[in-house]
Amino acid sequence: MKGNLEATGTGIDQTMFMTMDTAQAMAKSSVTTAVQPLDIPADSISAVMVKVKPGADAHKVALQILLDTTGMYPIESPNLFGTFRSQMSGLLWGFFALTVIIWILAALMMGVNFSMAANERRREMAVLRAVGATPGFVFRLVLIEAGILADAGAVVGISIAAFLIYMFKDLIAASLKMPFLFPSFSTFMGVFGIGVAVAIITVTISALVPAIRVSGQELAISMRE
Amino acid sequence: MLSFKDVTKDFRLDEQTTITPVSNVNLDIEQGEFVIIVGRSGTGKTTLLNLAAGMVKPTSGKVTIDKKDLGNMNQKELSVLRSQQIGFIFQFPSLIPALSIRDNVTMPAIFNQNDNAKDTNDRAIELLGTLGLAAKIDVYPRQLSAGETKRVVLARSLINQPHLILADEPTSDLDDRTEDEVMKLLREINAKGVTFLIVTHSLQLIPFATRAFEMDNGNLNQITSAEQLKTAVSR
Repeated sequence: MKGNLEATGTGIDQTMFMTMDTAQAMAKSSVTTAVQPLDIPADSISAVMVKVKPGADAHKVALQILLDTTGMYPIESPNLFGTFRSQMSGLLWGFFALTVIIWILAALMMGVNFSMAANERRREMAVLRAVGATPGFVFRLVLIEAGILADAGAVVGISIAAFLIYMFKDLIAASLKMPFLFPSFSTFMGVFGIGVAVAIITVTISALVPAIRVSGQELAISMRE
Repeated sequence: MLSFKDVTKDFRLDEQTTITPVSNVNLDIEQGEFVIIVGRSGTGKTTLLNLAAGMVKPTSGKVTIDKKDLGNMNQKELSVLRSQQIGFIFQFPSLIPALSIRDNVTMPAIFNQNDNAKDTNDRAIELLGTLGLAAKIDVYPRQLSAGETKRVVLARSLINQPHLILADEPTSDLDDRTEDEVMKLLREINAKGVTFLIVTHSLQLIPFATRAFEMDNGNLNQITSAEQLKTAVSR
């Protein structure tokens, strides 16, 4: 077999591609092995699939084939993928907008949380400074702590999300009413890595202001609080 | 070693109110001294100690350690100075609760670039052993009594082998017997050449001092006679 179409989740992509010799050999053996023997007339090709470039007009291409060839009848495929693509595009933009809003809210929430945590630990940080820690050390300490928390949160969160999606993938596919493929392991690992990176970047941004404040605080005042 | 020259510190509370916890203080402390400053709460003792550690800058005047003007040093230089030359005993519980006693004691050495981990660990074990805390080296601060906590703080202040120890109420929260033990311990360390500046409200500590002062409304007055001690007690 020479190849098959990339999975789309539609069933159309079950087509197998093979050499003409292989097809002839299959037809020959089908006489004894298949319920309905396959008959391939010699020196003939039943169909040729033409893939147009993105943006090209498939109808114009079909017309041109009709004009330029004899004995060939172009059949335009229904605009199945185009419909899916436009539906998915709307859905994806919706998801994207929702994700951005949630991301901004999460970053703000984490900023408030880190500010509160840093305020509670002002005296502890002041003690560190008093025994010799530089402002830079305290700054890095706050950011590293935030990074570790982000890392742990991202790993646990993404793992739970992936598990739930995997468990309910059929339900999700059914409720979406459109093709849905669970990502391959490599794609999933890529998404996992991006998720962790985004979490670390987000938390670092959220912890930046508290880190600057706590590292630059007036020691004598912080120790009295 | 530690010198205050015409040092005044103001804090502006709001547009109309300014307080002056330290007013025109002059004090020279030599290497090996054991100086105690007594005074009631709110008389500027802790501010004076903070000035000595460079944790707050004077409004006017000059604070120097080994002739280095703390007012001219940036935050990083002050951090290096504190890690290499100063040990601090705080009034409040200052141990990090999430760290073991060993880690609390060795923590200041992380900031001292002249140190290495093995020496620090050996020194921490030795110090905690000397202070009677050998068995508590891997426990956490919440498992210690008040007296043990003070001794751990003392060990932490000594880990970088400082020349100067600044102590803020080192015997607060301690019973008389433990107070006496801690003060004797401080004097033993002082006998090895470490300079002490202690601020306290407890007049009972004065007999341990080589020189004693009374802080009253930001002014520093040396206690040189029994009469002055009596006056301080009566306040």
